[in-house]
Amino acid sequence: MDAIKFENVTFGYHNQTPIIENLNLEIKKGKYTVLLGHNGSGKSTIAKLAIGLLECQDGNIFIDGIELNEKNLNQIRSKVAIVFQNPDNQFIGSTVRDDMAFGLENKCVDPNLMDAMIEEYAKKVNMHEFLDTEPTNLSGGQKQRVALAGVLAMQPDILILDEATSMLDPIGKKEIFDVIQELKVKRSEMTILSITHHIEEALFADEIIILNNGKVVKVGLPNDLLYDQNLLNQNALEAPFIIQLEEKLKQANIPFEPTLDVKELVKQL
Amino acid sequence: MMSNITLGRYIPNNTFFHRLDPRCKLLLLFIFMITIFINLGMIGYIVLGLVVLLCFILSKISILTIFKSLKPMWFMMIFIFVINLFVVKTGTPWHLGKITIYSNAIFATLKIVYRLFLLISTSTIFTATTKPLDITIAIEDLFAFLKPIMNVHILSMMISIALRFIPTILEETNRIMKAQASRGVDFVHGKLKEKAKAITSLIIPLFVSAFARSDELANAMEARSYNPYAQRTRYRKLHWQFKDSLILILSIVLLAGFITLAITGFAKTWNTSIFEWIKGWFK
Amino acid sequence: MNIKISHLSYTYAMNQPFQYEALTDINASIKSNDFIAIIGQTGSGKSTLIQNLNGLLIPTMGKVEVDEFVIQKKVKLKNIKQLRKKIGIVFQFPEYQLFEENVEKDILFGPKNFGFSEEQLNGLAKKSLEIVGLDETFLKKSPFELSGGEKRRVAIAGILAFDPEILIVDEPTAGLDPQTANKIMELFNHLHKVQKKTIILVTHQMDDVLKYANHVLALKNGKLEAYTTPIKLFMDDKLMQHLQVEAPILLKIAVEIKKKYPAFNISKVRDIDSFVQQLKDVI
Repeated sequence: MDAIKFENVTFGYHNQTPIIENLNLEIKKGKYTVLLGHNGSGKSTIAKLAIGLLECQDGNIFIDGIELNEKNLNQIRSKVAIVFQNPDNQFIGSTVRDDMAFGLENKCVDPNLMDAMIEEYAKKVNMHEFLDTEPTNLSGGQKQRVALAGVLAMQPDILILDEATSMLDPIGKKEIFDVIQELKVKRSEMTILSITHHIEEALFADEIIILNNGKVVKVGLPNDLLYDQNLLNQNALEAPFIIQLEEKLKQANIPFEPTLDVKELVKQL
Repeated sequence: MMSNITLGRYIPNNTFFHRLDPRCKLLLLFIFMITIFINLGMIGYIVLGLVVLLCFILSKISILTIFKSLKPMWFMMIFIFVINLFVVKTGTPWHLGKITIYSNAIFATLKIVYRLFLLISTSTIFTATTKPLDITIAIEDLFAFLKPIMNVHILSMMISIALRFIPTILEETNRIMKAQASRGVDFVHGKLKEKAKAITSLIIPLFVSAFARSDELANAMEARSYNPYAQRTRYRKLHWQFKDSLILILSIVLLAGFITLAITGFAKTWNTSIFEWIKGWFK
Repeated sequence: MNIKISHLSYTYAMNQPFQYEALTDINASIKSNDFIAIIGQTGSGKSTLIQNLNGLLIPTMGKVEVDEFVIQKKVKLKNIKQLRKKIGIVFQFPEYQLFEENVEKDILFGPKNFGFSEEQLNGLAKKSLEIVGLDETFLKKSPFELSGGEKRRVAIAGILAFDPEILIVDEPTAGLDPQTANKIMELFNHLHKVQKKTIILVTHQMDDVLKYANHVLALKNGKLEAYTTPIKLFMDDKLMQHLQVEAPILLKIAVEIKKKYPAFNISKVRDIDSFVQQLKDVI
């Protein structure tokens, strides 16, 4: 069974040309999948459809085998959590603590248990020292980590990261990236879907899906897709740094064995 | 970036006032507002002023900050004074060349300004010592009796989100103003038409981004299973203590005292003439 | 146009509870037709620094001289508009400054504010759009119906339209996908190389610093820590650690290569192409 499944899904805003049309998509359970696409390829729409913020005009969406409809929206949302792009616009509480509590309140968690949960999940993202800090005094990366902790505390089965790092500075990006890497190692059953145009994130994926013009162009492993310069170029994507370098080395007839490890490459040169 | 608006901002600390129950503080603020608008008379205003001064000391907020944030009031003060100059024709007349100023014009102005000052001071003390979130919880609790006719929770959620986004939107305003200033907009000088254009160049982007923001925020809230009509628990609990009751009773007594004074006509002394009133003291 | 910054300090909310010193005693000069990168962590004072260069902020201490313009506290700057016409700033997320009903009007907004004549305005919007790589079909479109990348370009065109001699760009590629980002960076490089404009780039992207900048100005906690060439800065491990900035991977590889091939010329490495070229020469 797939964690998320789209069957012939079509969606467009008010009679405009559809953003996605007849889309078929499968996100495998328990895997770390990266959905790659340039700005405007329809990738954020997919995230919003999967969590029921948008309603598709045609087709079916299944979450953990359950068909998404108006009646089971709450059930679906207790399974799927999402971290959005803009750190400011998803910080609801007036402090880190309150923001993390927001989701728990909605889930009707006993308030006496909340403090322990908040502490636990804040620790996971290394924000436990900032519990009483207000959002204005946090960096973008810190706010995103709070957002992440807030949704993790709701113990979802599926975590969607909708360009969660694209508005952050390099330090902020790395902070989030490290937390995700850790999650990837430690997570038990949780499915992670990262939607991004940041190709370096895709290097560590279990599966990559390339999206363009609202259509799935290709599904595969990082090793297969990321070396394919043509494929990446056609979809307005850029190869990871190491692959770009190797490509140029090849053109210059400098001998080496392809690798994804920078140190290994340096050794060979 | 830091904005230089101190008015209405929470200042983290752990003073007596910070520790009072927000519901108690909110009730106190109501009582104060009522008191300020009763005609109190000289002594009453002095006593009230001293109470406010005590609050300043207890909450460890510098009165200087208040004076600084009152700067825009100068304009209003002059405006009120000019109006009073023509309207108020009682009290001791002073002749300055062709103009005659009546003492009560000055006193009436001072009275209004003093009241405004007290009003702003007390609200500032309230907001500076109470976290925005606590204010909304206090509102939700105090207005709980309205639950059968309206959803109080939505109201408090709206206020809390508005408060949460005030700094963000101020920052945004600042940023857009700077961006437009770099495109040659002069927000200070210029003809009326140019000014209108300048304001448009600020307002439209501000609205566009505010709408985008609210849209994203609504999505984020909904994605985290928020439903204002559904059952939900509450993380923050308020704790009413003995000192809250004590302070509240004290202020109610104070208010009752002031009302009595006002009714008995003692307060009228202010309106007659301050000189006569002082003379009365020495008789 | 040369910029001379002497003993520049800037403090936000001076004498208020939230007082905060953002820049401390900065000294630097920027020569005409240079390509300068300003780097440093978020909150290191980069934005504050650029806002002091065109009089959006006035130094609390020290001064900034831009040719005949002197920006200094207590000295009234007469032609601030002229200064802002000569120093254009493209703010971070400049799409937030769009507000007119169509792209053409928005692009011409700046030039009109700076008093361009009808003759100068004629065809200017089209020309500016061309520079940023958009065709004239965009002229009559509403800026709000464009995609993110297109909005960004239109906003940049709105600055280029008044032809500033110095162009300051704050994180121009933030949030864009890599291909669009590359095109935008190439655009600034073109303006520098062909139109001989001075470019001041505020960025977190060290690859861009290495590739495009002639000099780099590094800030930490509001202090100027280095003003040198990108290579020299990136090779200084101790300084880089102090700044908490990562040097480009390419340069790290180059250092390793140099250990093997002493003839390898690191100072010529700016991007992958030049790296491979150097490598080819030594192998």
